[in-house]
Amino acid sequence: MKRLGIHTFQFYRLLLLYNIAFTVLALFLLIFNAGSINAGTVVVLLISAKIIGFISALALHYFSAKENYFYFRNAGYGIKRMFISTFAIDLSICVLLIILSKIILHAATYFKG
Amino acid sequence: MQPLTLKVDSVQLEFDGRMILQDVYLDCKQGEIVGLLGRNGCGKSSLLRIIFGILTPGFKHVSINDQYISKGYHQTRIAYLPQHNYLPRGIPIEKLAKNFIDPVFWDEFSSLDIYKDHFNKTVGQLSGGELRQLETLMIIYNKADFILLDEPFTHISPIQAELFKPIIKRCAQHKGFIITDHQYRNIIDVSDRIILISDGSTKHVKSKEDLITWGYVSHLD
Repeated sequence: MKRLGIHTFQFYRLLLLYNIAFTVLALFLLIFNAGSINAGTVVVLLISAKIIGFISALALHYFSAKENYFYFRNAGYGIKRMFISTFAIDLSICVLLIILSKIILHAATYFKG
Repeated sequence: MQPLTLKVDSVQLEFDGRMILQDVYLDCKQGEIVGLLGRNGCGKSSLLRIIFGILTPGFKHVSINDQYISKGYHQTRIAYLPQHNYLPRGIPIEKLAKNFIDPVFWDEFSSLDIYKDHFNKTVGQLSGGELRQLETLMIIYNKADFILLDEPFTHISPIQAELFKPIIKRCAQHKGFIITDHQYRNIIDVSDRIILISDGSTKHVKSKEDLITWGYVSHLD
């Protein structure tokens, strides 16, 4: 289990820059095209941007560096499993950030008065 | 513990209507090194990829101790050295190696000069030759029960090839190896037995003269 965790983070690390770039781009495009924005819409937009960003990062990584998959296969893991594990990590981080930002915003409003 | 046996049988592979592999049988026991020879395009690399589980043929039967396996790499049963570089960039060699190398061989692997000199570097900081040497050694020392090496003696200097042979033989006391390379003298040197792929089928080579008979070489030195 520890080995899977280490290899999953190694795989996630390979995607991270692409992932951030595509997620920010998707978020920008979605917000730009979404008329009125309320709290519910923001969450839907974030999750949508996250999914689009992750899939785009995977696609770019597949076309530019799929030779690396041999490292993970030789460590005993199928690529589908790596995709699913990294997506789970990515989504968890996203949800955590949303919750944290909600708490911070709530606290800021509270202290302001 | 009884040594495991990898068996590959009834492989059928065709590309664009041309039958590449049609009558293939090979087996490899732990403790044994099997050399795989054949002309360019005869299907040696394809056969290794089929055994590893990343190429799907028309039909195959791959088993370990008569237990069918669909993907050789699952649960680190089989490791495979591809012809191209495979280590991810941007991650230090030490971190890549730690959870990849068989713990039984970690002390031996980590005492190699190539590892000691570069363990804190990343792939981008190594030369092509250094990277190939390190990648090959990481597969030889992998945790898997069976190791498939596709051209381990290509792109390295002759002195490095000589360095690999005793390491492969030492690791083969615990694992099974199937090795293919066009440098057939190195394959003959390191292997316990040789299999030739010719006309899509495997021929079990009993003497070096068979290589002439089956048209792999025109003469022997």
